[in-house]
Amino acid sequence: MVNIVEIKNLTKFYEKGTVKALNGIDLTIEQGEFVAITGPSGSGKSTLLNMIGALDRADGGKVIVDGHDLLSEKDLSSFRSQTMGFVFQLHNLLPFLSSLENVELPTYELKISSVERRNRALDLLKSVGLDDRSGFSPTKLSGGERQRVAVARALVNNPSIILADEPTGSLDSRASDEVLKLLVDLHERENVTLIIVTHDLNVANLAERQIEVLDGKVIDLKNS
Amino acid sequence: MSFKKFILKSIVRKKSKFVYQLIGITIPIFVILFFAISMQTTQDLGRNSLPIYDIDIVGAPGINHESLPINEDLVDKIKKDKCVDKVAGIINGYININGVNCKVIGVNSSDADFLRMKLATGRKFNDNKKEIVLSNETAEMLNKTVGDYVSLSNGEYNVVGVTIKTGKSGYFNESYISLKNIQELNIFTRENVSMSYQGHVETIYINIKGKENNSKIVEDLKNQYNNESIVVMGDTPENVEMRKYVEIENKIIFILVPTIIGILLTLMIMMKSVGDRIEEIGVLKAIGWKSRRIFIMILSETFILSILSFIFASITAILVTFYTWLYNPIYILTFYTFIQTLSFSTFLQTFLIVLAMALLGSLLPAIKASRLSPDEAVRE
Repeated sequence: MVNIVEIKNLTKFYEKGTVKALNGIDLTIEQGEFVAITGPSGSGKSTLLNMIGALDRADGGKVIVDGHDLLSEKDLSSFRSQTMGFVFQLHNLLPFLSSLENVELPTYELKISSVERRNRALDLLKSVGLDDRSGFSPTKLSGGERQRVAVARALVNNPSIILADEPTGSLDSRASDEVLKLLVDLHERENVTLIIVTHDLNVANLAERQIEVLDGKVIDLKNS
Repeated sequence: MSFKKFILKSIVRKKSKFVYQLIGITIPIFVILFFAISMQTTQDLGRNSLPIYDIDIVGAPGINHESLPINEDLVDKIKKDKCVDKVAGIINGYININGVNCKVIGVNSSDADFLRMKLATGRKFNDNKKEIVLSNETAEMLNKTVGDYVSLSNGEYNVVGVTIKTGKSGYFNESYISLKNIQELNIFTRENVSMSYQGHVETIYINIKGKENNSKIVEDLKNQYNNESIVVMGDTPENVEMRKYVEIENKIIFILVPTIIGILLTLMIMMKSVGDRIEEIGVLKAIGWKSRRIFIMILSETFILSILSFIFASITAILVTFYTWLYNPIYILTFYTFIQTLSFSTFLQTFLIVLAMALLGSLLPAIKASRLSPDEAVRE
C-alpha cells in the first residue's frame, strides 16, 4: 500500500518555544486507512491533525501528505482545497448561508461553473440524506443534520483524506451514530483515508488503526 | 451561489449590525454632501434669484444718508471700458401706484434680463411707452393683471407683465418700468426722502470680464471716476484673500475632517467585523480559500457598504438641505428648482472621496483577515 501520510521527527512549539506540543513524532498512514487518534486533553492530538491538514506549519521534521512536502509547500490553500476535507467538532457552518451554499463553499477556488458547483453540492446533500434540507439555514437544522452538512462540505472537492476533529463531540448518541455511519460508509465505499481525532473510545474502536498521542509522542495501540 | 452573492449575503447577515455599519459610514459622507450641496445651492440660487454684480457704484451719501444721484453719462463711459462685460444704470425706490407705495426699479428694457427680471406672464415693457411689469406681490395686492392699467403720478401705465414670485413677502418683489419713465417721477428712498433723477441714475451695476481681475478693476474705477460723488463697491484684494482663506477653512472643516473621520470609522467598523469573524475566516481558509480571496472579500464588503452609505447619505443630504432651505426667510424654493441646482460633479467628487475612504479604511482589516491562520477555526 502507498503511504499517504509520512511524518518524521515532527516538532511543534507554542508560546515562543516554551510549550512543546509535538516532540519528534514519526508516523505513517496508508492510503485508504481509517485511523483514530486518541489521547488526553492537551496531549497534542489536534495539533497533529492540524499538521497533517496543513492548517499550521511544523517547527521541525518532515510532513509529506499525498506527495506534498508541507514544510516547503508554498500554496497550502490549494493543497487543502484539493486534498483535504475537514469536519470540525462544532460543524463550523456559516449561519447566513443555506445548507446547499455551505456545501458549495470549498469549490470557490476551483474553476467550475455555478451550475456544476450547485449540482455537486446537491448530489452530496442527497448522499447524506439532506436533499430536502438544501435551502435550510444551519440554524434550522438539528445537531446531527448540521454535522452531515459539514461532512458533505468536506467531500465536495473529492479529497483524498478526510480529517475529522471530534466530529461527534457535540452530538447525542443517535446523531453521533448517524454521522459515524456516514463517515465509515464513505471510507469503505470511496476508499478515502479517514483520520478522526476523538476522546470517545467507542468511536476509536470503529477505526482500523488507533494511535494515542501522549506528551507529544505517538503510540500505536491497535492495528487491525 | 456566486462569490458576489456570497459577499452580499455576508454583509446583511445581521440586520441590526448592517444598519449600524451603514449609519456609521453614512454620517461623515452626509456631512461632506450636506456642505457641498448647501454651498452649491447658495451659489446657484444667488445666480438665479438674487442679482449679484461684481461692482456696484452708488452715489455719495447725502444729508439724510440717502445715495445722491449719479450722472447718467458715467454709465456710457464705463461701458467703453474693455474690461467691462455688462453695465446697467438703474433707479430703485418707492413709487405711489394706485395710492399704494410700491418698490419699483427703473431700468432700460435691454438691461432687464441683466437685473434678473423674470416674467411669470406677459412681456417686457417698451422704453418709449407708459408700460409697467408688476411684481407678483404688487399684482396680487392691487388685483391687477396683464392688460389692466395702473395709475402713477405721471399718468396711466399699461400692465404688460407680471414677475414670478422668487422671494418671500417683502423680498425681491420689485415692479419694473423704463429708466426714461422713472426719471420723470418723484421717487422715495427707503429713508422716505423724495428724490428726482432727471438725467441721473441711482446705482450702476457692473459685471466684468475675467473675475480674477475684479479687485484691480475696482481700484482703477475708483481712481478713474471717483470725484467724491460716487462710491465704488467691489472686492478689494483683502476681501479676495479673506474669501480664499474662508473657503480653505470650510473645506478643511467640512471635507478633510469628515474624510479622516470616515476613514477611521470605516477602519474601526471593519476591524470589528473581522474580529467577530476570526473563526469563520479560519474555516474558509481551512477549506481552501486563498488569502487573496479573503482580502478581496473584506475589501468588497467595505466598498459595497460605502457605496450603499453614499446612496443613503445622498438622499438624506438632498432632503435635509431642501428642508433647511424651506425655512430660509428670503427665498421661495420648489423641490424642482432645488433639484436643478444640484451638480453631478459634486456627487462625483464626493463619490471619489467615498471610494478613497473605503480603500484606506479597509486595507488594514483586509490584510489582517487574509493573514489569519486557518487553525483559528479549530482553536476557537
